[in-house]
Amino acid sequence: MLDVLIQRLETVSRYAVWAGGAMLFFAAFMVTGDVLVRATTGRSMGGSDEISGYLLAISTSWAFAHTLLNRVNVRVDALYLLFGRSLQAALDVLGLLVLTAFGLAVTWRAIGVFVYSASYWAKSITPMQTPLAIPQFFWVLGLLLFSASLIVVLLRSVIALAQRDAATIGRLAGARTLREEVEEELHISDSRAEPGRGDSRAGPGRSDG
Amino acid sequence: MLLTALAILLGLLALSVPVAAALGMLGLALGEIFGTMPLHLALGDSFWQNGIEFLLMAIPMFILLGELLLRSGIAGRMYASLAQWLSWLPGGLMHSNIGSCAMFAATSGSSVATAATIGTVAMPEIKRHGYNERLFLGTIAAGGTLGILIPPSINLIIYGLLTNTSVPDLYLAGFIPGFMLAGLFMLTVLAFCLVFPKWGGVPIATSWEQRIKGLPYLIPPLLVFVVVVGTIYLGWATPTEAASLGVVFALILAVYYKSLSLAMLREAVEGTMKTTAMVMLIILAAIFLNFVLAFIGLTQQLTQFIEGLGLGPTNTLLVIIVFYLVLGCFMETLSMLITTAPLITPIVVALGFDPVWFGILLTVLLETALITPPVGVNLYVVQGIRTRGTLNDVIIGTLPFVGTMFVMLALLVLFPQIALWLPAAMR
Amino acid sequence: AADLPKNSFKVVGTWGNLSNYQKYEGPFWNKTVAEISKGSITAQATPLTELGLKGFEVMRLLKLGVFDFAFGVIGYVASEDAVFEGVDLSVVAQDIKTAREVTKVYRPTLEKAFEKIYGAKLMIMAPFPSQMLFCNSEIKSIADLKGKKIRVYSTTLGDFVEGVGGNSVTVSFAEVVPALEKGVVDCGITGTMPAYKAKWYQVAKTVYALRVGWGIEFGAFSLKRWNALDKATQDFFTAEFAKLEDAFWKGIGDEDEMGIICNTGVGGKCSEGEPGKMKLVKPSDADVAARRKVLEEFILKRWASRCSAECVKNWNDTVGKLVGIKAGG
Ligand code: NA
Ligand code: NA
Repeated sequence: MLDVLIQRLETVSRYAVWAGGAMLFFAAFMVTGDVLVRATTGRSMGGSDEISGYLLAISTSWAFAHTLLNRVNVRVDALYLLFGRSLQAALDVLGLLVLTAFGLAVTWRAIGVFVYSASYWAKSITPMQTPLAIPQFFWVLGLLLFSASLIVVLLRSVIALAQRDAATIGRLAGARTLREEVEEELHISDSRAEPGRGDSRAGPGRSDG
Repeated sequence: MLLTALAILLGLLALSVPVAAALGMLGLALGEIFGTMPLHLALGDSFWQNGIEFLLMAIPMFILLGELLLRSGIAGRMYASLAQWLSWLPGGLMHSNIGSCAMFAATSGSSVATAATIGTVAMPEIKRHGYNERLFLGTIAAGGTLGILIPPSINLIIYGLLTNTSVPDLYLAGFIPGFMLAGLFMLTVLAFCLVFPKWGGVPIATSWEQRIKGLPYLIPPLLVFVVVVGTIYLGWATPTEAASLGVVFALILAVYYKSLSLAMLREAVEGTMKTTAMVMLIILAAIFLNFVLAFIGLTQQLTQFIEGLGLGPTNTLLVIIVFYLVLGCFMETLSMLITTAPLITPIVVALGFDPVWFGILLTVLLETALITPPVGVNLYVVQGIRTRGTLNDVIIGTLPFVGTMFVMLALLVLFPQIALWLPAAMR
Repeated sequence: AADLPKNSFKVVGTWGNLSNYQKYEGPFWNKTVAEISKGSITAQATPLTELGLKGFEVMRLLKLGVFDFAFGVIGYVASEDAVFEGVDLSVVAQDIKTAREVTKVYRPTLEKAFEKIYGAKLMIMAPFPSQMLFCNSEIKSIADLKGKKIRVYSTTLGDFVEGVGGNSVTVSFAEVVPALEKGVVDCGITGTMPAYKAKWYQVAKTVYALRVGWGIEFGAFSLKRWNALDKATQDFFTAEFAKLEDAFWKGIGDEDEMGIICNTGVGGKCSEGEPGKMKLVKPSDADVAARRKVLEEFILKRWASRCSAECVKNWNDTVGKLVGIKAGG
């Protein structure tokens, strides 16, 4: 049940990342357009920095869930690597717990920011007069996806911890192995790894520990 | 208060809690313990106001730019071309590694992207030409760090933002030290290969005809450099806008080289977003932590402590350098920059040092941190590309270059003009 | 005021590198209140620059209870309602005396708005050194601003720039100086002394002395905290803030003029260090007439469309009457 949910979240978070990437390209073209128009005609479309800022906040918040589900979050593993697998599993769950607490705190306060802006229909003080609740709504959406992923993965890991199932914890929340780090850095194996990851989810877990 | 903060932070990090969560929870905890006000309520505004900061847009843009250049084959062709020119030196391709890193650094704002890109194209050559593997790995790990010193540079943009220092000045100031450090790296290779000629491997065959033929492959990276740096000085774009121009230009290059496809874009986007979100979470958490530290007065306490040491400018500077070298062994560089620059820079400037010069010195310290164990991201990246042997090979091979960095630091302290001459000359 | 009950306050100030904080906000809270109250009242004031804040969020944080007292710039916190902008609309007040009169007649309006929207008690209103145009080319009159790329930071300044036929450009604040230096923008707007302190004289040639705004700042208590104070302490603060306000206007008025001296090196000796060599251009009579046209046809017209009918009527009855102009025709 939770495993299915995790798979769904993975799918959603991947679409969210693509959407975020599209926002980045959009921002790049918009800024480039503004720069070219300004350099050649002396006029300015205006607001490209402001819109880019909103797109940055939204695209990053939409990608948070993906970083969690792919265990990209940086951890200091100098001591971690010295420990045995079961102690590592306990630390994995602890790390996830702290991240969940922080992620939920951020989301909770972000909702506060959105509700406030919406209740006064607050506008940015720039010439654009952007109603802030609009970008903040999409920003909060990303944080909600992040929070949902945190809670589900944490629940699943706690269950695995109770079952002394270190392999599952490693798969869900373990520190990444060097091999994975580099696949990430270079994406040489992205296209190959995607179905592979799905398989290992369904199976008893990968044996890279 | 300072001890509590340090104990919580080191404890969380030692337990391998994700860095972003460790910084954020430290902020929340210190706010609970020492803040007389409900500081956690500021978390949302802090994340929003800084999350929409246009200057931070440079981070995803430079990462995206690097992804596109790697995937359109431009990096590989540049490496092959430089190899023709540099590999006659004792040390062979190791000089090309450093040269390519320096050149790629002129298009990319990130050290990790530089090491990963050049590492990928260089690694297959180790076996083929019989190099000393460790030193070869060292040239990539160390050469990659040039990514943040030679403009453009994410770190210099963020330093400029945090300390109100002119980014164009910082870029100009990074230029000479950047290429000088590349030269020092090459000298290091040369020295080792003159003493141990076998380390230098078998020279690759080349001819003047081949060299000339390869030259056109250096043009695309130079064009990217002109777009992401030149447009700033032409008065077309601000440093942050220039990063966006670079992305659009890289797309055009990808179209020209017929390597643009939906699959390629998708991979580039996934890689970019993962790294960006991970880095942004750390940055936003660190900024919230800074807010709490300043609010509870710890910032001021630390400043007063260092000023109270009464060591005088030179000794204080030495203490700060040692502080960064030690911290750099254990901390990720971007979080280190964000948590310390707003605290340390005012002290240094108050002592009479130039903020632009200190930005460059700090960047070299951050470069050192990238290759000092146990936490040295570039070491990880290089070992990762290699996927065999142990991390120790990379660490040992990189050590000579850590020594070279110390020489560079000493030169910068003794001759600040290395950094300051160019910005002054361009006025 | 010897026997006030003990109270301690957390205060956020404006920019730590400018006089408004260094000479007034900071010393008032960190020193003066303790001295006068003989140690009964203590406070810790921190400038927003040190806290890493942008200045847009201070009233929200005050409302949330993160601070007891906040200083801020009205134009920066006007997100929730255009009524706040009414105290500092572009080019309305051309001298500091008028600027202060405007804050006085508009104060009841703002007091109500602060209470209703921010849950705050407005205690003080003061200026920054007047906002002028700093350009990297020669500007002789308002007509020369036509077609210029002018960096603005607020809605009303954008309306002004469009009114004079310029192009309002929005580059990030941190990038204004390099943008001015390299010609990405032609002019930037900021206060006279802040411009000197940020070394704009190194990148700009001309100061065009049309006062496009004052960067009116406020100081406000969280209403909850204010209401919990005893009457004697409230009276203490009311009296002390009145004194601070007088000192503020007098001091910043002097600094405004010193800012021009420091930027141009003309008219006296710069108290802050080596003066710059910018050329000062004062608006001509023709410019003054042009200003009124821009004010009526762009600045007030557009602001009136952002504000409610009641808000506009109230402005006409107060500020409008004072300066002899009507919004929303
Ligand atoms: Na670079
Ligand atoms: Na390190």
